[in-house]
Amino acid sequence: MQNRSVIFSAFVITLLFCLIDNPAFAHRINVFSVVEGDEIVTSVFFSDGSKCKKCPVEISDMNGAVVVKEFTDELGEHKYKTQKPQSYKIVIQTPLGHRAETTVEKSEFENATNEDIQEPTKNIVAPKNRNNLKNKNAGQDIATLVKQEVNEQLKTQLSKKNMKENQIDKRDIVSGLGFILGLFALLLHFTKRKEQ
Amino acid sequence: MHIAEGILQPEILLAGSVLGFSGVAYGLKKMAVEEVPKIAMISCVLFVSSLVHVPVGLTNVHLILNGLAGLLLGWAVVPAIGLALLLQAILFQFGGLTTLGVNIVVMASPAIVVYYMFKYFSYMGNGFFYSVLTFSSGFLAILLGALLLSFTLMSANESFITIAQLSFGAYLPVMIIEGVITMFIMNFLKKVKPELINLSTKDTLNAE
Repeated sequence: MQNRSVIFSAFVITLLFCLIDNPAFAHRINVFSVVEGDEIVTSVFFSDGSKCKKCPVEISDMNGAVVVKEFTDELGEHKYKTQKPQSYKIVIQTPLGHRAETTVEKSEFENATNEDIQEPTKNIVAPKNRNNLKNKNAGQDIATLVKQEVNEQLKTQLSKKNMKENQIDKRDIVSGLGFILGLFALLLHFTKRKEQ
Repeated sequence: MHIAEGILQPEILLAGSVLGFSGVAYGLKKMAVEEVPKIAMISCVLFVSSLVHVPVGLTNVHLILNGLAGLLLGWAVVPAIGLALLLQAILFQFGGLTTLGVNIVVMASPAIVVYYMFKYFSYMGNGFFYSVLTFSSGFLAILLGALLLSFTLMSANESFITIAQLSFGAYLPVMIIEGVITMFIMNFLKKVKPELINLSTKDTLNAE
């Protein structure tokens, strides 16, 4: 009878851990901001990569004056159209004590403006239609489209890279466990030695 | 329940550090040498448990297991939590070094409270009463932690009521989950290895 309840307890404990064993590592928020034209685009996510929805975003200039205080959208993103190119500080602070901050530099606006791609002309041609390539704007349009596509891809890759870098490394978990066991082993060793 | 850096006022950080590190020192002083392997193992559990997250609404909460640790370790739970939090701050950037003391207080104080509650009531009954007591310990440890967190964040945020409501809503699932986990683990240990929970016997209570 007792064995049965022991097995039942062990089963329930295992089941509970399995149910909640989603090793998505959270509890730290990360913020990633890029400049697009004259807009600051901010992504906020937890360290498991899940989006921080409706998180408070505070953008201030370098003098500390708050220029906007809003929330991220359902995708964990926030866009702010700046009035003038200057350095900004972006702070995310949730009411439950999470905080992350980043900055965008003035130079990022200058780079974004220089690299800003012009909108393609309305009559974009499909590359299949070779005759249309004779059109003097066609080559430029295709180049613009390619640039836009590459830019988009780069942004996505950069965002993914940032997200990956902010995730918790399994090696850190193992080393943490090693530290704890090692420190307590040292404590035990010195206490025993002292006793002797 | 990790408060990040740059949120709290210096005086709160200072008070938290004094309280937290005094607790660690007292816990180390009261720690029996024979208990060190058990403390190390529970510190490892506390270190890893924060990585198991439960998505709740707009935020993520995680397992804390301070109630269970408190029942098993008594005052030694303070250094166990302290070390786990220190390594989490260094390796994962959970919380921070300046907020370490405050975070220790927020997590360890409820553990001590439930330890004494368990100690005074555990020998009063077995079976159902024991299960209710262990569930309450796990539940209460998180509830008290959430209240302490709200109280601490009050200095940096809005009203206590607003933060308390928010943290209660966010941590309610964790309170229930941890209550159930604590209840099953304590029942399990009582059956298979009762010496692990020998802290809660009447003899040790009288000895203190």
